Amino acid sequence: MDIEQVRLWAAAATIAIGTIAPAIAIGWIGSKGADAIGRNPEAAPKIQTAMILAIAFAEAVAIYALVVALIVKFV
Amino acid sequence: MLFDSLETTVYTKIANWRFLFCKTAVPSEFHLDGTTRGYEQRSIPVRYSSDSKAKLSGESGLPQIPFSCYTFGVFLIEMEEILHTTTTESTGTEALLLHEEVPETHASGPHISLKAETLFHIGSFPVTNSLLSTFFVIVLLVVAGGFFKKRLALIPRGFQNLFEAILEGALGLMDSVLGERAKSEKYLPLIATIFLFVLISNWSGLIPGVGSIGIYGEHGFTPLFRAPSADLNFTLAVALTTIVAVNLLAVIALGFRMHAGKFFNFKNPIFFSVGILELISEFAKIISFSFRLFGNVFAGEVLLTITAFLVPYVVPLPFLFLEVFVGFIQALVFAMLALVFLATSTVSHEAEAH
Repeated sequence: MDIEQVRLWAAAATIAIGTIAPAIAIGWIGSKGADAIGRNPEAAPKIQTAMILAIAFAEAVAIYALVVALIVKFV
Repeated sequence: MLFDSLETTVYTKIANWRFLFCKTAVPSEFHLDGTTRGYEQRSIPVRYSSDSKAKLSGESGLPQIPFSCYTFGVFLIEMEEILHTTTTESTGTEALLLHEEVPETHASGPHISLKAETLFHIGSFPVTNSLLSTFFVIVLLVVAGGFFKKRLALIPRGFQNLFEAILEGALGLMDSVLGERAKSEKYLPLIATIFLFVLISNWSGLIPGVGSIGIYGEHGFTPLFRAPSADLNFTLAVALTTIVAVNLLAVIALGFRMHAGKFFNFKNPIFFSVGILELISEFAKIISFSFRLFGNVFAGEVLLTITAFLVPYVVPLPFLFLEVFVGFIQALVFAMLALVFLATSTVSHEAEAH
């Protein structure tokens, strides 16, 4: 394998493996948020704010993987 | 002539093309009357097919020099073949040079660049395209701010209604984090500025023409504008400003001794290591702030570029809506996180415990 192939494989592997955990986390947060809103619809705005923040945190991990993949691919 | 020192070296193979690097002497000056003056050494790539194993032409066994070399008065000094070829003497090499075929230097795919491209220099300071659009965003915000400030009225009309409603919402959101209205009003300018600046920066990448209008230079295409948040320098700058501001406000709220005591605590070893962790987390915040925003916006840019490249009409529309949403959410997240950090750092540990 020459260096270009290694780069392609590394970029693909980084984003593929790196998105597994955030995907699970975001799904989990969303399901818990929906649960909470269902139980207490009055608190929906507060729950949504907290939910979006938590999702952004979980998503950040995927974004780190993406940035690394892009750096591997383009730099 | 000069071909006596023909040597072959093994480098790499790209598809089934072989590349031959000819070290050449190129005239450094061309004159209108066709004469040349001075020579400089340069390597020029010459491509030839590996399938056609034609013998080198000429009785002397010399390789055919590309036509363009003749026209520019280029002389081959020595040749390096970049492939698995046994070292041969100059007379025995099997190759066919295709005339005027050199590998393409510019790919024809969509233009994606991880870092902002330099447009021009002021002194030794490079001005990149994202810096240029950052200035446009700043000018827009300042002009809009000045404009609305002049038109402020006690009884709101038109736009002022909208902004007062937004301000009320923002203050309400800040109340829920900070706990009291007085604090919210105190920190609103910082948080709202961060939010607006990041929001407009995120959205500025979606304006038609940003990233597509540019200059064709010697290094290929260079866009004139680029979303500021799609440049790591910008996000890093905003993140640094935010963290420094948060720490400064904490020092103002608590006093220097109390704030520094969070990081350097010598009462017992556990507090000491917790303090060191706090210190590290301050730097982690900067990194996570900047990479989150950069990653989101740059990924959006790449997504839009790729979809527009694959299907130019209709299909990119939902992605544009998605990017408008992502730009808003990321600005909100940036401001909210700054707010949360501010809220936690302007409260002393003693007050927290009670």
